[in-house]
Amino acid sequence: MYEFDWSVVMDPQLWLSAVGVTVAYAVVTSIAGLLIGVVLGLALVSRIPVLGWIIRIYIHVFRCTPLLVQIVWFFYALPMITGWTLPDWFAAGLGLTLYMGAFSAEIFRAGVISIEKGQWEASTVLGFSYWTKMRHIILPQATRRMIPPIVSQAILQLKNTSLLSVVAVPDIMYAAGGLTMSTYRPLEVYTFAALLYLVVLTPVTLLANRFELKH
Amino acid sequence: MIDVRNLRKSFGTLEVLKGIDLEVAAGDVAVLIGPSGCGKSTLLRCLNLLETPSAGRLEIAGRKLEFDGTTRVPERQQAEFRSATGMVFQNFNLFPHMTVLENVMSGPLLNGLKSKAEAKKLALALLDRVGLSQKTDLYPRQISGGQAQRVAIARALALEPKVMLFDEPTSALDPELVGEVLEVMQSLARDGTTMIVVTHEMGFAREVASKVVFMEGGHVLESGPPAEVLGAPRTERLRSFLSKVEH
Repeated sequence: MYEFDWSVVMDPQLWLSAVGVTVAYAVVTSIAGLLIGVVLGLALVSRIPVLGWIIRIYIHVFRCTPLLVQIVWFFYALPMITGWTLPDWFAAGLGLTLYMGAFSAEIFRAGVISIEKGQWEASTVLGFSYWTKMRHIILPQATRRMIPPIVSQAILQLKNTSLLSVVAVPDIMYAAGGLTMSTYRPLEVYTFAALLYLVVLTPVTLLANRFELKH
Repeated sequence: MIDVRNLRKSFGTLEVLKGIDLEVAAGDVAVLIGPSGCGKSTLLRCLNLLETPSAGRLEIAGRKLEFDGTTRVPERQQAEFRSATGMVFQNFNLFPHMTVLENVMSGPLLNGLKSKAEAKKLALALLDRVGLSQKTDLYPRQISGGQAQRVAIARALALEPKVMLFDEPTSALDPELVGEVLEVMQSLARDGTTMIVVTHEMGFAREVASKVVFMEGGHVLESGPPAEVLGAPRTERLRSFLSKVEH
């Protein structure tokens, strides 16, 4: 019978800074990714000919390759190929950001096309320009439908920051790795790490649920 | 007011309108009848360019357009042409995130034609006219279908169109709600509004129409005053259609 020894995880300083790093990467890459998604999603639904194809290829590549490879690639390969010297913290977040961008572009596009044809027709016959339709009729309705998938994607994004540990970003998972090495207690350490993700994400999901109930 | 000449519309290889001629004078109420699939809704949707005609000529309130199958009317010109008409849909298509009042204000306000105060004043007057001055702050989901359709009529009127187009305005309504919508339409007709109405309501056609147009298979088979067209149909097709819809 295994004896749990929880004393090994008692390192508040380490965890606190790790949680800070995880949350910071999750928030910043989610917001940056969402902005990319909004712009690309808008470009997609307005059916700009050549640009549309380029965006679709981008989305396809980022949705259909492992995020781990993307992170590693942007961290190591991009600076090597281009000769750019990117700050480590920036290069580490690039893959995550573009990954979020690809998914949110798709969420955005799906939200817009889910609005009934009648709403477009009604605004057309009222003489609204394309941007007036988008801004006042389509987007206010589409945004409400986009909230649940965006929240799920943001939750995934926070958990996906765990992959950043492979490029030595000191997030929760990286801290857990280090602690395991020094204590040989992976079970306690990783269970505690999982608990931290749970603690961070619980209020987020509760807030999202409340928002949904209100609208 | 409206002059349609040899209008054709195809979807792919299917020709839905096969050369329609239609004249509607100012103040006329033209009612389009015919079996489903005869092209009457498509004709109505061609009049405000929700569908681009494949061929023919359209003239509405002095604005003219000609089509030859390759015609692409620029967005601005489309909007300009469309501004002569207001449209009421079968499914109302109210904006669900706006109140009744905001729906009616949306046309003048979002097009920048009126200030907020002016748009509100106009909207309140129009809602009063359709008998809904008590419902201004409700959302579309909180009112009945008949009320929603009256809001949609007020919303279209807010842009002061020359012609009102109605695409089966009572077909999605519960039977007991049809009357209130027809009453509003009848009052518009009395005030001299030019209207083109696609409907299956033969009573409305008989009492309110100044002109009845019977379509079948993409052609106009008969048209004229209701007493003539409905009272003494010349074609066997119309006789059989009328016997079906009038039980």
